[in-house]
Amino acid sequence: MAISTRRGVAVAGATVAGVAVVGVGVGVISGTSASADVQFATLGVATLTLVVATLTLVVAAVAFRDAGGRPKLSFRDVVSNLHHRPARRRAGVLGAGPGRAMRVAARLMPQAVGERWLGEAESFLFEALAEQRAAAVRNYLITAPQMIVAGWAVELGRRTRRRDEAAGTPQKVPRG
Amino acid sequence: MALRMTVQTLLVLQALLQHAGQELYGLELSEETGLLPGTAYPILLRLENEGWVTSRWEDIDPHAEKRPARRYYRLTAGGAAQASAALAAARRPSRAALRGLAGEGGIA
Repeated sequence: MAISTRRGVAVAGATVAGVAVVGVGVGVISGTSASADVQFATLGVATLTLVVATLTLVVAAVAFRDAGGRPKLSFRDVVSNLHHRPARRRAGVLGAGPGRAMRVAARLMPQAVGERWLGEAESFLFEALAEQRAAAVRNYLITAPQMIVAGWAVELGRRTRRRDEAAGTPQKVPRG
Repeated sequence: MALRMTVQTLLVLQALLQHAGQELYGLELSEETGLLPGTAYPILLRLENEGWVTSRWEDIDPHAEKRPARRYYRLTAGGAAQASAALAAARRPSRAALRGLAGEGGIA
């Protein structure tokens, strides 16, 4: 979801919440002088508005869910966005680990290679400076197809060597 | 699998040769070579497969250290010799390039 859309949803949530608060206020005030039916209807509308506002805020929080399997933003982050302040980026949590796309790419590699690739990426992204991380993730994803091919080439070479060893035929010894 | 001597491969070999007695991990290698880790990783995998490089996971408890374990790389003895030869060959100008320069009048 685009950032402007997310912000729109959040602002809509805040607006509805504001209307709900006003509705409850009106309900309480009118409750003192109006008839029982009017009081009941006003409080009903206010309650309904509050439920809609809560649901809208929940949808806004879900919409804020960051791409790449990173955790949802906290309620405080959502509220800070309502005030047009950048959400706090918690060091080591947001933007620090391999994302969903990287996990998918790792699954396309042989298991051992994929796990190692992800492990190294996790270590690098954890220790790298925040401004290096985005470029590093992009680079990991750009080179992922190359890594998938290289990983399978290594794996097939390994399997061939193992098969040759089992068959007792002379195998190619790694140079060095 | 034949090892292709690209500029990036030579950069990785040079960094590992400069620290021949030590082990380097991803971030250090990235800083030494100027390559992003995604670029260096397939090179390291190939070098390891060819027996030029050996690697190991750091033996730590990630929870105690509050960071993930690093993967350390270093050149093998044979790998160091081959890396030196590859770097020396890369520094030598090729005959074709010299002939080209001579043809343009660059070399008397």
